[in-house]
Amino acid sequence: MFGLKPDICSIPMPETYFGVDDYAKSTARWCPGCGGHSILSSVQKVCKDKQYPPEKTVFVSGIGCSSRFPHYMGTYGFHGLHGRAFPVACGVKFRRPDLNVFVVTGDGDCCSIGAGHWLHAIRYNMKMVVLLFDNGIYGLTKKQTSPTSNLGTVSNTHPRGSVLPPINPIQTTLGVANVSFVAQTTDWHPAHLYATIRKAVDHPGLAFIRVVQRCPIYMKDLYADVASNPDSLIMLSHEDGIQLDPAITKTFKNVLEHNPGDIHKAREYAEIKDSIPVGLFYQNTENANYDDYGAHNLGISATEKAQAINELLDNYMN
Amino acid sequence: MKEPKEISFTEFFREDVFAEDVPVQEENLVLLKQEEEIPLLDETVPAPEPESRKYWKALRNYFMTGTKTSESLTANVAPVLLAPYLRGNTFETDYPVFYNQHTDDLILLREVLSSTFDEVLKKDEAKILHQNLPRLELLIRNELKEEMITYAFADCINNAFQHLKKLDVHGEEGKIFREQADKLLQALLKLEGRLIGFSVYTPFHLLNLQLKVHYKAVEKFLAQVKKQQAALEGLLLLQQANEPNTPGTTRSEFDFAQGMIAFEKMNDMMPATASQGLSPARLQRMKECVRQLAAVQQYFSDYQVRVYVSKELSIQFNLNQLLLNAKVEEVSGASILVTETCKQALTAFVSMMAAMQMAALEIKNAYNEELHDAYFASFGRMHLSDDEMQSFPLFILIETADELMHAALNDFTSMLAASLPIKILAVNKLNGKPEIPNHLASDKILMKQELAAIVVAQRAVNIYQGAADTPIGLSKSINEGILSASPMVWNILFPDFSQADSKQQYIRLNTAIESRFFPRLKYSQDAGELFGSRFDISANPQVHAHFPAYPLEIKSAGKKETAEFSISVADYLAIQKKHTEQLEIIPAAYRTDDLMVFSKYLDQPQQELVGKIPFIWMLDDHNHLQQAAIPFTWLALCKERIDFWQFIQELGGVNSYHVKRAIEQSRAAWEKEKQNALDAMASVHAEELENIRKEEAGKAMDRLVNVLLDLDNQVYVPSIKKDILEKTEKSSSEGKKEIVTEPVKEEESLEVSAEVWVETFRCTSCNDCTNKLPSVFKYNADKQAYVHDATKGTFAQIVSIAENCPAKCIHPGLPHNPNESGAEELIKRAAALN
Repeated sequence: MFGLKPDICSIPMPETYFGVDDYAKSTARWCPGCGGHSILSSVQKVCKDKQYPPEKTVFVSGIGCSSRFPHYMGTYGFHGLHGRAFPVACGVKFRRPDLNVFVVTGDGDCCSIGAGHWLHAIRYNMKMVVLLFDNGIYGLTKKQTSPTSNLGTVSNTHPRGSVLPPINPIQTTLGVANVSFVAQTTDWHPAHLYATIRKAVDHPGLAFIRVVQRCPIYMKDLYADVASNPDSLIMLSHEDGIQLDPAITKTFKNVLEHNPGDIHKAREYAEIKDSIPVGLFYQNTENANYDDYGAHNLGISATEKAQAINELLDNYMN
Repeated sequence: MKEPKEISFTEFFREDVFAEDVPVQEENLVLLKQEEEIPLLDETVPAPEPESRKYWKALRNYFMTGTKTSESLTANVAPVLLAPYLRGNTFETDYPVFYNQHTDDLILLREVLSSTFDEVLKKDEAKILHQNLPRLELLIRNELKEEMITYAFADCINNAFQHLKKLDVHGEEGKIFREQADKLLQALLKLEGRLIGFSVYTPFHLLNLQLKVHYKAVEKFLAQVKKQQAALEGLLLLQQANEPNTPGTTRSEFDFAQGMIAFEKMNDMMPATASQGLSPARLQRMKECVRQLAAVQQYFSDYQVRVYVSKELSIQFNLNQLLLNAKVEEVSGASILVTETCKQALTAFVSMMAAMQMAALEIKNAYNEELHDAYFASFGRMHLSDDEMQSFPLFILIETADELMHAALNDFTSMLAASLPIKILAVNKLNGKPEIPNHLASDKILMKQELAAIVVAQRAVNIYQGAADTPIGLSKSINEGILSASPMVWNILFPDFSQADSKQQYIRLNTAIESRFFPRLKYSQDAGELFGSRFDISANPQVHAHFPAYPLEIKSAGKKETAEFSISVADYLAIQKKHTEQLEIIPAAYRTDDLMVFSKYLDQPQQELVGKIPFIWMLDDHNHLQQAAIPFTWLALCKERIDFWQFIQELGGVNSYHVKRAIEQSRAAWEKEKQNALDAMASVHAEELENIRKEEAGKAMDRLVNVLLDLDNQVYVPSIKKDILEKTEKSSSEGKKEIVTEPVKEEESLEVSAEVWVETFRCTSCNDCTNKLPSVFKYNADKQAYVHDATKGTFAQIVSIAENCPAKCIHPGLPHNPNESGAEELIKRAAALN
């Protein structure tokens, strides 16, 4: 040993290690075969890997099948209003930057009633992970057309088939200013799903993941063929992208090299229709985070703020 | 009804929305902590010219006389690189080391833990335990108390694991973690030995442990002596039995074996020489050998290594208790005594070894009187091999380096010159050292007599200079010294005992060595024939430099930057409070370019140093960098140390003056040769060029003349060479070749599993199978399904569940009970899923 070096043993280490069970609570009441189960167990595994203290982790959701998610997590949760998961989550993060914030939302919750909040949350780019459970249908209310339902989807609201083309959540998100992380994965490929969420939690801004999800009750036929056919997925591969075990990478028949720094290519690939591209479309770690401009992050104390408000009000007294 | 409490507008905000308890992100906390620790370099506003001039006059006076100026700052400062550690930060050391009492190996505790972990567990499977190995090391270290020298390993790790297992690991992982911890503990408990901590006693303790190596060699030697003695006695007995006048001797000697041995037959079997009777001279020799061999055994019967030490040192280090494997003799003037005793022992040992060699020859009956009589008549130390010398009794002298270099210098040098295999441990104490004189008076010579230099000049004496900060290296050198047939000097630096804290002791010791105040050095004549190959200074950091330098992040004008700081002799001096008081800490306003950092100052030629004052970087309590000027006395002392460093650098073949000169000379010669060759080539080239030009000019002139005279109708057309054309055609046709590859045929052979199985990695954790057949399907730690017991469910149930599995990752295989009703039908359904 040359020279005095800091002692590696004196680096503080966690006193508590959490297991998967610490992140689980009650039995998930989704239908058997629902993609939600797969996402739930992947999220729990990621929480365990990162050793997020349950009391420092919040899952915020809106309304829908997906939004039951916070009930099944042994962490804090907020089962909010329809479409309002984003503003609540932004509020939590703004006020409590120490918390690990997750937003769980569905295609109806996010892309329909909550679309306005969706765009602005992307632009705010606060550090959080957004999981869009996209099964292309309103399941909780027994099958109505959602904004991502394919053209011609027969539902209770469109008995003769839907007439408008669906929103493409990936393309839409890529179109918002200050977007910093967009990825797509499926519920029936647990290894890829897990790796995607694992990548997202380390992103320094808002990480948006669209999970292509099966509804085994109302949209049984939508992804039935796709799920059993490995050719239907295209893996976007890059050294900066989602990293998988080489053995699992081999199970993908179609691999497309894509640099997640290239937003134009990302937009091009987002339009692939005949199969489902999975992987990291776009990532930029340099984007601005709106919560950095919060008062406490700027180092302004409560007294200083109160004083400033008083001075401002005093101006109107004279 | 209770009236609602009136809340003022400000209070509302203060109490609710702007409450101050917003926790900061943990990552930020770490950052903040680091930022605090980064040294700051203040921006300076230069003082006005007259004031500055006045100060600098006083500063120059300080440099020459050591009298501090009136404006010197009185901050509590410490050398930049060492300040955090001097102020309590923990640092990495090689301690504690583990001593394995079976193999006599010394291993770092860190390596013991990690290698044992690798033996019994896999990193991927025991992530939490692997992550906590540093914690385990820390827990073991916490078990070590300051006042002890060694610790029972088993006790320490048992206690440490008790604490480790209290770690709050939840769920299934917790159970696994505790099982793995137990497994590691059991593996560690199999290693028997002790832990050695850092203390002033450590070098003696390591010496005591290494003495075992010597005892092993002596034991081996004695076994050989016994064997030879038995063989010789056997021969003598047979001789007696064979003599006619003493017919009953053998018989009586082997009386107990009556009836078992047929003595008549034995005589026939005896070697021819023995049966023919021994010559009187040979008989005499053999008897003498037997006597000598018996004397050897007598000599070694209660043998102990002799350690000679002055009474003062013995009491100070409690050597009677420490060196349990040796006999400690407290004497004054030990050098003379040890030389005499060793000389006598060597004479005795030489005759013993002669007897041994003679005995070996006699047993083989290979003693040739013509040849061997002369050999043994002149037998001496020179005839003994290094291996034979390993069993020579060990004489160890322990003395302070001061005593050896002053009062006992004559005895010491004559002892070295006698080339007796004495091992000397020189004790260098850091207490109160070095003394810096206030003024550099003419009669005070700072040039220090170096023990290492004196020893190296003897050529036949090995030396190791170092300290206990590297226990493995020290222990290895002690081992080598004990096993070597050459004399050995261990010149060991001991920490400052006046410092109560062992961490402070370690810092001073380590810095003394790193700063070249007491550099590490090894000279071993056994290492090679050539003088240069015997030297080793590679255990010092950055051997090519005057002083080792390390990068450090600092903050200057609000920006982070990396600067390099060195650990020089002056930095070493500045650790001590009494020395720091002699430093002039220069107020920021007076900083100019005339201040030169000390390590750079030493490298400059004399003419560049006019008007310059050397300084070292110090860090004050508030983490600000301060420039501290050093007085001339410090400079002189540092120069003297650097002089010695350069001396051993040269010996070690680093920055060698002669090598540099030789390189310069050969480069100059080579460049000259190259230039000559170039010149020659250039002249040849110029000549050729000139010839061609002349030739072409002649041809052109001829053509011109012919054209002008209209005698030649030919027009000059350059022709394209045929082979070039062919080449281009060939290459273009190659490009057109189609690459035809045969399609790779993949043959897939699918075997149907006899039992139901799950592709676990594809399971989406939907709870369907685990809810319907919980005894057959279970989740693993990753909450993905696997088959727990296939026999707990009917094939019909399994097939039905497999059909419903959303991930289609359950493969029913074949029914475990072939007699199940409707089995054939089910097998058909299952076939689609297998």
